Amino acid sequence: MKNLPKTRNIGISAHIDSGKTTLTERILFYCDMIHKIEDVRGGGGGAKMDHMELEKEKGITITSAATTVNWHGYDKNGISCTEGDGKSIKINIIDTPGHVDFTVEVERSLRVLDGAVLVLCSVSGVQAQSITVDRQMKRYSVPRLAFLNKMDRMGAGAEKGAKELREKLHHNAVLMQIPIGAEENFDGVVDLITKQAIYFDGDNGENVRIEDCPADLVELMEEKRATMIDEVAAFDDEVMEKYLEGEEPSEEELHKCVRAGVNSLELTPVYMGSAFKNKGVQPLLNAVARYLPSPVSCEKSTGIKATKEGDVKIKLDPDFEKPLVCMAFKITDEQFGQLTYTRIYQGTLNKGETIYNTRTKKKFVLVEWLE
Amino acid sequence: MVRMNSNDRENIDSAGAGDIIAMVGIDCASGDTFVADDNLLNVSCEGMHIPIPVIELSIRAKDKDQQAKMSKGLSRFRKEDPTFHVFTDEESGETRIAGMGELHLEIYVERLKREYQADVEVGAPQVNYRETIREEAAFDYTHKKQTGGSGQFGQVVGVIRPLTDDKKEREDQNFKFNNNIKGGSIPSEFIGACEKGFEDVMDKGPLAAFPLIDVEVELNDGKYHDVDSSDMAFRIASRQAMRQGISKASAVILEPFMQVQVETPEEFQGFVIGDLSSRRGLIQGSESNSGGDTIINAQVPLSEMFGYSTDLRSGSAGKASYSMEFAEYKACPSNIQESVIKAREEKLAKEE
Repeated sequence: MKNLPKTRNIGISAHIDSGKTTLTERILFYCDMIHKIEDVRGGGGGAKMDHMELEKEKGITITSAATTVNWHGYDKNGISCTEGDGKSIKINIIDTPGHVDFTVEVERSLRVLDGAVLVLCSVSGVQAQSITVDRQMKRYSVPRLAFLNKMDRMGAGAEKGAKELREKLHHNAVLMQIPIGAEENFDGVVDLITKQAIYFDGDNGENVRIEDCPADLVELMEEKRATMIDEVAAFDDEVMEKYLEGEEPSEEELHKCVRAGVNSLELTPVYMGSAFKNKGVQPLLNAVARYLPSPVSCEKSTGIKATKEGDVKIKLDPDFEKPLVCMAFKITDEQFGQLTYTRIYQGTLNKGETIYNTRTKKKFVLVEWLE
Repeated sequence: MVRMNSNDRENIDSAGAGDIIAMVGIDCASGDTFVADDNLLNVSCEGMHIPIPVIELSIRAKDKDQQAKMSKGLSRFRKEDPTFHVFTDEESGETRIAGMGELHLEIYVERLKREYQADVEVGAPQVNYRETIREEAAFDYTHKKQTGGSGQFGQVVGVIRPLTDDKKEREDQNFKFNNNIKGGSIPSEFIGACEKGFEDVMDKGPLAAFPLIDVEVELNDGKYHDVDSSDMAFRIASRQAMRQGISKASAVILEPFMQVQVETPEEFQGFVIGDLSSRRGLIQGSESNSGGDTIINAQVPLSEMFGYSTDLRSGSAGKASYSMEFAEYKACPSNIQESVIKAREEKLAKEE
């Protein structure tokens, strides 16, 4: 728990039917939270995140559900991140509904999250709802990565997806991968930083196999890699200088640049895959761990203190030793009482402790959940 | 307190800054802040953007028994979802629910039936109109009542004007009060009552009693009386002053416009555009996607979008689909404004 740099609070938002619940489902699976993959539509018990009966019936997500997962990297040997290097990263994920009528679910998730994955369908591209979600992300200054889903579908295209992000949402969208094979032959991705091909073996794509870039893609890979470096090097003066002098930036330097770009909200790295076909999800998790901010480096935690002279903004510090400040961002009324989803901004929340609601001034004691 | 894994919960003993967890058995509303130190009771976290509801409908239970079930469900939904509103219509006494779109309300009605076994009937959905002012206007009002016993006295002087986006402290702010009183022409203990008085009037606009939005009030001067001035006197004076100002500030009725996106095979493009135009839609453009379909973007008043899914389906042989969301409130054209006012008058008259 005392490992803040290794925590990510992220949201997955997108337009309806772009497959974000399917993507979340795969993330749970690869992080060993569930042992069998179930799909949103069709038989079976329904996807894990869509637990309400009505959601299962309509195949849409109405209320957002929170889930915590631990990501260990491809081979369970850990992942190197610019921040919080170590064996695993704890990711708190909020799944959000795609339908605009439930837009408040998106608002309240973004309010408390530190980073987000913007899922786009690589066939239909940027749709009206993506524009809304994007505006919401900008409102709360949420750093983001893009994931082009459904790369196995007819008419899917990575270049096209990135172009729409640039033209319709005015993102500085940069491809971090290129696809191997197209449409139904979509087979994997080439990582433009490592130049390696990544394939997804096993029944559910759980075995990541790393190979050299296929010979017929080397030329394209080098071309796209150069474009990517041109864009990202600008986010670090030192790297930029070296690069202009003809020296190729190292992998670590590139990670550093991408991270700076993402956190300044001026860069949207683009990843791709097909959640349904179990391809491309693990590299996205690596990117979440590497580039999205931890609660420590996130700048969004502001509080408001009412004083006689009016309201003043105060900085909340993600320090366990400081006095507790936390915010209820979502409430569900369960059979056994109210469940209050809470983001802790400062201090530590302990069982048995007395806490105060600062609006109503009411006192509460934190209790255990009894089934 | 628990950690959530979708619908499964795991009890935990503590959690630190940066974490997201769930608390059990706590009574609060979305957006509330909690602290453990009672010296921090004046601290709150920055709020979130809550859009205003654009659509509402009446809801009625079949009998007393059903009424109890319905109330239970509605009070839960209201607590969980800040964009879902439940209120009793003052004039007719009926229960009304309001939200962000037809589907939004439909889902809650369905959930009342399924989760609470409440047998309910709903009325036709209605658009939430608003009113605002277009011009600046001055006010100067004295409330005076000195007929034996303790009297009432308060005078307020100032200006009202449209509240523009750049002056808003929050995106969803609809009313702003600026106190420019210096030198105590109104004692500071009465300023709060003045603000309340001005804000009271925001509930009902002058044209058709729809709520007012985007009004800025500037209180510049006033007078008080040592004995006869009170909170109540200033609140009444401010209400009257606000009404006086609004009556001179060119009030208009606003209607919600939706951002509509229609995806259709090219052959039905003409139909879709023609149909949207006949619904007073402003076509913003069209483009084709990789599948060869045409995507049409338009802004259309919500009042014209009822029944759209049926019309679109039949006009395109079921091949076109659409999505829509609230875009913004815009002033009604004058002919529409007149019919909205007339319909409202008839409704209010009938309820009396």
